[in-house]
Amino acid sequence: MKFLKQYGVIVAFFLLFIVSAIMDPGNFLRPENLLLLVRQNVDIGLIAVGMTIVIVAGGIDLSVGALMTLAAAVGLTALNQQGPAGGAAAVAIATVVTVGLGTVLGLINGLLVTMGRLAPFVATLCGLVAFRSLALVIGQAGEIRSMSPDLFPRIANEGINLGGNLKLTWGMMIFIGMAVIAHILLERTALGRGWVAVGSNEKASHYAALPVAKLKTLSYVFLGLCSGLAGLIYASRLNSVSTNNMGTLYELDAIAAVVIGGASLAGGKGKVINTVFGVLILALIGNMLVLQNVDSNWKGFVKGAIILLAVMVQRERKAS
Amino acid sequence: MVEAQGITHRFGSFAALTSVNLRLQVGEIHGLIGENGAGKSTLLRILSGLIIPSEGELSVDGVARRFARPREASDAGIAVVHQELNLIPDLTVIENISLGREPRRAGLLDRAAMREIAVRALERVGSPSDPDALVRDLPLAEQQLVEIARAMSQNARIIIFDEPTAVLPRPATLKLLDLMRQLKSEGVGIAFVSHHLDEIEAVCDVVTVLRDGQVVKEFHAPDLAPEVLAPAMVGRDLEDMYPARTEVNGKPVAMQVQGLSAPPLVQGAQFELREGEILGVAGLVGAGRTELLEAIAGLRPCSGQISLKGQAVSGNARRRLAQGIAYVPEDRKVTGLHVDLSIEENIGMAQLPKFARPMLNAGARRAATEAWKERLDIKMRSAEDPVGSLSGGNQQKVALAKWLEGDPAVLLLDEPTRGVDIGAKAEIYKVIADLAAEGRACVVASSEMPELIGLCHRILVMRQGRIVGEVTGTEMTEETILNYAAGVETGEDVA
Repeated sequence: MKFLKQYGVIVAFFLLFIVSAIMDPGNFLRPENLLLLVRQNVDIGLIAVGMTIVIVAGGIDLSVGALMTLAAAVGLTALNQQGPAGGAAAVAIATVVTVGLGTVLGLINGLLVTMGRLAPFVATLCGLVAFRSLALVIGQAGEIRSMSPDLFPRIANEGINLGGNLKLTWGMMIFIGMAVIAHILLERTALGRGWVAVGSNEKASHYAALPVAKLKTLSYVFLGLCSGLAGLIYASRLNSVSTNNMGTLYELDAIAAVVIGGASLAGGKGKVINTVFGVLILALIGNMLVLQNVDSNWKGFVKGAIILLAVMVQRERKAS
Repeated sequence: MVEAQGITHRFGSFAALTSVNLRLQVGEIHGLIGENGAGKSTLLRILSGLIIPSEGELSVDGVARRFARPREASDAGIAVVHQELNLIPDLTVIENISLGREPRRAGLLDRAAMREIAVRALERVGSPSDPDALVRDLPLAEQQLVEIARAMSQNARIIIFDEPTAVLPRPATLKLLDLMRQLKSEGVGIAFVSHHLDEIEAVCDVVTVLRDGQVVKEFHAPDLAPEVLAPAMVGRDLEDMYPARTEVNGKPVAMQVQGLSAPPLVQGAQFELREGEILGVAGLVGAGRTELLEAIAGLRPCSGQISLKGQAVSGNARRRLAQGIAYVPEDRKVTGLHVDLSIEENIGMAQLPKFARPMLNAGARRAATEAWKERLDIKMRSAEDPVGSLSGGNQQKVALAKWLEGDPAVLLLDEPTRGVDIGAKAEIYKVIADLAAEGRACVVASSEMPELIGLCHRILVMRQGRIVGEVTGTEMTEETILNYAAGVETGEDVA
């Protein structure tokens, strides 16, 4: 019973998985399909993992989709400045710039919330519009194409061969790695317990002499890092950045995954592993609709219904 | 008249109430006392329609009733004044009084009628508040009067007061007791829950004592002396409430405070504290007791010098905690504890670096929790339960454990027994005395003078941010302290 209370979302995922398998065993269960499902959601997954930390620490970040676009746009620009022949060095520079800028933008969000004493919703709403605007300026409202024809796309598209045409891509490994790191940070370190404490009761944390402002800031920094990595993988997958539509509504998908995972938007409660399954549930639904040839306009409706259902189920359990 | 008969209520397998009978009459003040966990809140929640009892019957004026929701109870003439007031801070006094029952004209609010209702109700309870003021801007005592006025405006015939005096300063408490007497003379029936047995004695006609979910005894005026009521509540004779004091003369100085100011509420505080000493801080509400302790703990900006065993102390609260100054705040729910987190998590909270460097050592934290459970006799089922599920006294013990875990030399305790029942109070006094006997220095700020007089070696009295008096030995009487606190003996005018 306690397991179900804490990890109900995992059970829900496997139920959905079985339903999908029964509905279309031929296509759904193909290993290629299952791997694709994860691969296509690595960017959302990374952001959702970071978002879990911010939400547990009592915050929210609406800027992530724009943030990852800006970081990737600057990163690709840096890549292209190395010229068409820019090899490994250029890709390394692009990686450092994208991930580093993501982290710095996360720091700015954190400082606006702590030192600027702004409500997280407001501070990051400003980021949402401002970061997007900067990205549009850089990309002249269009696409920035990478001039690295071969090396840069490898980050998202190549990896360890599992036999056949199955691949565990570097992007997937980064996602899994970050999820594990976030899980350990949150559950097993002073930093993580501090995040939970601040999200659960900021005042009591202040009186317990916890470094409240530092903890809150670091939660946004971590999410910035995750978003930067997401931007890098996204840009690598398409080998370009489309500044006007990359990452739009990612903030809402990430928050949805966290909520489906059972975290409380009031802070103090949430698990990284549950968020990961929240991401997988959203991915599974998308995949199922495609395989069943459902008009893609229905996707949002189904997603909304699933979120509602998840929240209601979890609330009922709390009341009992 | 409201009558409850054979009320039994179970939460799961736990019986919170067993066959309880209670009769609330109009024109009578009925005291309801019991230790935390005795079932008072459950009974009040049943009377006010918040929960439906598993068994038993309620009747109003002889007619059996079943309240499915609070609105039905209030329609039947039963109103509740909660300890945590149920007002909307951002609405005006007028709007709060009519809330949910606004008079309308042509579908729109009838503002004139609302004002008339509010003004009449405020007048009846003697409230000085401006009807157009936002409730947020009123002092707590006035907010409470607004809540009572709301009950009056609904023609309540029975008003349940749930620990209304726990949050009030003394003068406001006396006024409230007068108001209760006045309402009684106007034919209103009152149920009065309080931990303060002197207040119960002062106003009640009948007192029902609950223990472990059962009515153990009913007392009638004039036999309501605290010495009579307390043993019935606790179920045993209370040994002396206060433990013996140890000798501290000649002990080394533990902490020295010089010229400490944290404007506007602490000005030029100066005192010494010896090892093993329990120093009281008295004063009226707003005199700066909490602020003094917070300033010493580094929780608010201040100037002046503090030294601990000769070493200067400075920096933020973290540094001072590490140097040995721990502050246990007064409000456990908001500042003292993380009520939604587990007991063990709370006990480790002020010492996170100790239990997680960098990886959390859950075993060490569990062992520490078990050790404190033994040492302070914390009654809990599992270290993983949320701390909010414990009774007030046990929560306070967890709060103590949380700050004692860092082994502080000086312990600053703010209202250490607020909202704690009488049995647990005695236990907490014993804990404080034991800590002092180990050589720790304790500062206890409290609004309860008997507590300071019974427990402390010496008492500082604050008024308007200054330490205006120091009493010790036989001088420690409520009268002397009050004189200092109100500015009588300093010869100053009370401007």
